[in-house]
Amino acid sequence: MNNLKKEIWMVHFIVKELQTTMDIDEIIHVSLTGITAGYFLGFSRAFIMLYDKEKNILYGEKGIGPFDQEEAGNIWSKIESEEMPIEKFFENGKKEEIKNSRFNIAVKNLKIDINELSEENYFKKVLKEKKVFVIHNVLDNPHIPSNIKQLLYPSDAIISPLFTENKLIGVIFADNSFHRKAITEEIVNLFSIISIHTALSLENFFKYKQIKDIQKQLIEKEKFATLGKVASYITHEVKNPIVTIGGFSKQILETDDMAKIKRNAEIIYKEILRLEKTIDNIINFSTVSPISYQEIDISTTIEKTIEILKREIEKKKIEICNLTYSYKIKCDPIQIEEVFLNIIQNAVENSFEYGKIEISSEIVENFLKIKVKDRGKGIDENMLEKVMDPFFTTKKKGLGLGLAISKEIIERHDGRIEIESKVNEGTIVNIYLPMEVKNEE
Amino acid sequence: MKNKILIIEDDENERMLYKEELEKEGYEILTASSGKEGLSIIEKESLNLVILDLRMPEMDGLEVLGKILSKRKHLPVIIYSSYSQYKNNFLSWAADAYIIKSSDMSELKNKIRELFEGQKDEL
Repeated sequence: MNNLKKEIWMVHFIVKELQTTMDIDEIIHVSLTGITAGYFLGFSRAFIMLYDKEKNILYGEKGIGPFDQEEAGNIWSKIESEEMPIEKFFENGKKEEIKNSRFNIAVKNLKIDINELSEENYFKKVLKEKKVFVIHNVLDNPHIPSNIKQLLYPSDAIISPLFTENKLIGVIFADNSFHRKAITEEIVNLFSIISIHTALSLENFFKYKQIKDIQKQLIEKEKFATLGKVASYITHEVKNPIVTIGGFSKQILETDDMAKIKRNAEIIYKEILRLEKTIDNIINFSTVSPISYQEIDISTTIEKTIEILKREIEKKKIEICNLTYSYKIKCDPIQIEEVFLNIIQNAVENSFEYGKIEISSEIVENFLKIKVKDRGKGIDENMLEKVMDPFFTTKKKGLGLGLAISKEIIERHDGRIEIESKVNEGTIVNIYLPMEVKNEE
Repeated sequence: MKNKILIIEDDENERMLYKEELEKEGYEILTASSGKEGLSIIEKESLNLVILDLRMPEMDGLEVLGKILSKRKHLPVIIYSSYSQYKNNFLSWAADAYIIKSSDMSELKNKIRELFEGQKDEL
């Protein structure tokens, strides 16, 4: 291979590796391996320091290479000589060895306060001027921090900033302590390219981490919002019955009137049943049962639901039109029946006497759309976006979980649910269920 | 003449409990199961005190309180609720007392007594 070809190949290889990782250790590992490996730039050793802008301090992050002449002769020559296919080069195999190496430990303890350095010091110049410097005869050079010098042997070295358009990330330093090879112009160029790509990958990592952190915060906030609703629900549905039970029990303690004792006991018993139901609801809501797919006929399922609600429908003299076709879809029949029961029951409760409810179906793209339309009292515009939140209710005797559970079930079926409503005109609920199931477990 | 108290509370059993307990204290008790019903009783009856629940469907207690204030400014109101978080709500400051519901009703009873005794002093 001629030199140019070889260079392009090397750079391509390292850049590709850098781009495919989103882990800070991995990025630094790839970069330093590329700089030190005989295959690539072949420096004796290399290390990366990260820059803390606020404190104006560089902190040692990771170093690869032998600590002294002895190590260079033993361990590292052995690692170098091991025959390894190129694609395995960056794999984790050597990571532990590197992590526990004396050089890496020494680098990890490095700390350079930029404020204390002279203007001529390379570790200050590299951050300020943002360019690569080759340093000849490092031990004789007065412009290298003393703690770095302690790690060095008579040789040449190279230092490059790690920076992107808007951020100074750190520095890469490499030396040729143990083989005294010359640092050619070619090597300087390659070193600089690797530095640029390392910096870009690190910046991407930091941004990615930032986004992940924000995402985490948002999820936490949402959890707290739900927690507030849960607390409010528990106050209303648990504390109130307890107050009643306590109050009527106290009356029992204060009276000898058998009739009153019996009446109070009855009230207490009813309130306890209410409490049990509340607790069952909380438990049901918090346990997510897995979907068990079966083929159902949507029209039959709707018919079945209407049958369950027959009494309430007849009581309000509501006319129900089931206009759905016999579409067959795969879903969890029990869960989907619960959804229709919730939606149709809501429609019945919201309808006026002699009202009309229409249930129809059509295919929209790859979804079966089921539309439940009532001409009832409707939902206020500012309540509409809350109706699917858990524990939100507009009803006197509701738990505020029906729609929240329905939404959860439909979404777990990879479908969606939409609500439109106008006060005193009625409500339309559209349920979209996929015609074909992707991952049937 | 007996002091007349209106209890606005949507829960039937709670309503009954409070009525019985306060009748034992020697008051005349009227009840309403919603804010709306309560407000129409306030219009018609001459009352000495209102005991008001906060979380009720349709019209919540704070809204009812606002309406009472605009209609009968001098009618004493005690908020009786399981929720403590509305204590710092601007409107609830306008109530004469804010008491957290408890099956031991002595705090409510004491407060009522205190309010009526204060009224006597004023007269």
